[in-house]
Amino acid sequence: MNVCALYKETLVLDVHGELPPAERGAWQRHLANCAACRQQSEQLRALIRNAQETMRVPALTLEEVQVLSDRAQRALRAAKADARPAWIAWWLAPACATCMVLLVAGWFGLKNSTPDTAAIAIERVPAEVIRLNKELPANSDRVAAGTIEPVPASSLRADAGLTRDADQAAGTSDARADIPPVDRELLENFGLLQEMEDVEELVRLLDKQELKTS
Amino acid sequence: MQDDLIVKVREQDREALDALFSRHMQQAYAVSFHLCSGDREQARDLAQEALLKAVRTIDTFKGEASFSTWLYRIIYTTYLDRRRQAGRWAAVFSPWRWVKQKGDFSSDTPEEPPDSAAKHDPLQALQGQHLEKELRRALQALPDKQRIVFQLKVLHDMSIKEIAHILNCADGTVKSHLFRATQQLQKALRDWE
Repeated sequence: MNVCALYKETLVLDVHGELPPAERGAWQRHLANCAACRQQSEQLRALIRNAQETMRVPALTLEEVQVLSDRAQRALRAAKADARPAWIAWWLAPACATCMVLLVAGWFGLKNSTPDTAAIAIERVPAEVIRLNKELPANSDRVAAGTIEPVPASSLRADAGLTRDADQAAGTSDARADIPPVDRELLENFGLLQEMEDVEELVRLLDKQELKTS
Repeated sequence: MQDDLIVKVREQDREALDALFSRHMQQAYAVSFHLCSGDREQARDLAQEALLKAVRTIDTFKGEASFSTWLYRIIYTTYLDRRRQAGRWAAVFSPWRWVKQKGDFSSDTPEEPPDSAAKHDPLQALQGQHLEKELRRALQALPDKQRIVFQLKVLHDMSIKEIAHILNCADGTVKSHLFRATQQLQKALRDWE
């Protein structure tokens, strides 16, 4: 027998005791006259009864309850003991973030501020050398035009002690004659050095020209 | 009375804590037992964990529902967390089949029926055991929400409102789950009518 489609939901709610009081009167009147719904209602009630009877939960014994309670209390105490102070929770994260930002900023800052070797090399050229250089023609143009021989690069490699040697040279009457060969070579190629990014590049250029000429 | 107990628990009174555990452990275990499909060990762990969570977060209990309903909601969310976790582990270790998959409980030997009266009539006891087995199987075959709604309604006698609060959904949704679960179970157990 089929249940009346209109009352399907009402029937289920009724057997579960959830039918609103306002709908109960109409449902009871229908049930009195409909054998199919009555039968279905009885079957569902039997199903619920069976479920309640067969699926009972084995109760915990008092000892089991006590053991579980003790375990829970112990776990609670252990959690409290392990708990970090509250301030760490809000303080630690921003502190870590700040450290990371500083580290990243520091890393890139240092990377961008690596020394410009050409600038340093030019800064290290003493004032006297610069003055003497002004008196000379633009050697770079002449080297480029091939009118003068470039200074061998091998003599430029030892640029350490440049300042000291140049300062010593500044006190003499014939400054150019007293300038040590290393400084003189640098001086003669000063124009080129200014155009180069660093001393090594100048050395490479002069090496090439040296090779060509030899 | 319950309010006093909760106030004392909030003040970290040990005796009150003991009383709260004793009062709710049994019921928490019963709900957990059905959620865990009859696995006693899992049910004990779940009930204990949920009670611990409840005590730790008792300051968030506003008294809108009863403490029991609030506790059952915690049991339900803890159960979902555990299942998700078990699902993840099952996915990782599926080739080795280390972790029990959902539904494995139904294949376990069912718990002994607590009803000792049934043992006086062997036929009735046998029928009861078979019916219980069939019921478990039919319940396991239901979608999770339908199964839980049916269990909370029929086996724990909760109202639709309470269940809606526990599952955090609308009353209508609970009614719909209950309707479908009842229909499905009736279909599955037609032979027992």
